[in-house]
Amino acid sequence: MRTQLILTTAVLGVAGSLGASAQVYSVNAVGYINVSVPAGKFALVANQLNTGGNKIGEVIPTAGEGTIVFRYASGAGFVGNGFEFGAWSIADMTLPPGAGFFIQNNTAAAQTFTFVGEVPQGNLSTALTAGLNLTGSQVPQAGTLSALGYPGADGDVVYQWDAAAQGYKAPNGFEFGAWSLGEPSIAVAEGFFIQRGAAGTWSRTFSVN
Amino acid sequence: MKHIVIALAALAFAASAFAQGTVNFATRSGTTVNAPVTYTGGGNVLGTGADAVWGQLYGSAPGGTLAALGAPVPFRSDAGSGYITAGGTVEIPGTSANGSATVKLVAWYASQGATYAEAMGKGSGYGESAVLTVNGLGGGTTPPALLAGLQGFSVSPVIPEPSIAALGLLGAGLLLIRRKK
Repeated sequence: MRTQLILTTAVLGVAGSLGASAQVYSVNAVGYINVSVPAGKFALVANQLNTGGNKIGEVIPTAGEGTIVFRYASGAGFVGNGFEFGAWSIADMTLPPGAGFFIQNNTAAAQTFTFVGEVPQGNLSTALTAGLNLTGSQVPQAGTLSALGYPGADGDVVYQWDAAAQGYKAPNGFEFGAWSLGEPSIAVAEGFFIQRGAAGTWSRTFSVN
Repeated sequence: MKHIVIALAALAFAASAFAQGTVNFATRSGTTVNAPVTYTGGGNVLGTGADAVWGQLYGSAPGGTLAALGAPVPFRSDAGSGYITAGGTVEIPGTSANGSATVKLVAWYASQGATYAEAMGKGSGYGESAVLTVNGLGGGTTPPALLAGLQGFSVSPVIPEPSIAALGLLGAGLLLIRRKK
């Protein structure tokens, strides 16, 4: 999986009825992220840009016929959503920032998926259940989990997808205050599984300023 | 439309089904897995030093004969002594993703041999967990299953075997005593 991130910042002045000395500015950063998936391969990705209601047709407006997106629900497993006859089979499926999902490229050629939208800002939270969660950072940044605002907890296990090997890398558990294989580093638009002993929330306050 | 979705999902899982079932070889994962291995007499085993202990998973499809899986791994020697937390993903032959397997953890003093079988052959310095059934195996796009329910155990102490020379001296001594009588 190859990923490319382009961001631009748009400053939208919202003067409203306020005086010039007390103007409130809303700083919105918009951009796009390219994710390339080789033919016949799976990629584990995460959408990190808000677009409309983040329905699959908004996040991934088009794809090669036969492409399947898999979301995962703890306890229920994967739900597949195929792009057939020019549309997604489950049009209501959402891919909000913070949700990880597989893309299976069932075409004969590599596909590049371009996520376009606004960078999430403010107080961001991603709910995590006890057990397996397929997730990702809401913010399009690369870094260690702690840099992305996720502190490890006893019993956490992170499973990262190896795109070249088409399998999971060695499980990385957080025990006795440290990650067994060193702190995981997450790439832009990378989705990953995290196993948790208890439900919780991945919270982060983020601003492009 | 539902049929298409179900068919597609089934197709993907069929791909997963070709993969062998996998488990996460970690003997501790919060409160879900907590299986410390101890020395007889107390204390969590260490993976280094004169009393170094190694661990390995044995497993099979349900009803099969348990066999060694992967490679032996030393136990941790830091704050996590008594545990293996980076044993990696272990495949279990004859099983598939989302299926079941029976497994056990074995442990032995590294001084007793390179394998569990070798240590058992020496008659001491080893131990093993109860056999455990693991459901919902990983494989394909499904992450490896945790060893939920694995129980800790103790390794038996190493009982030194008398060397051939020592046995020879002992025999000679006994002969001398007999002649004097």
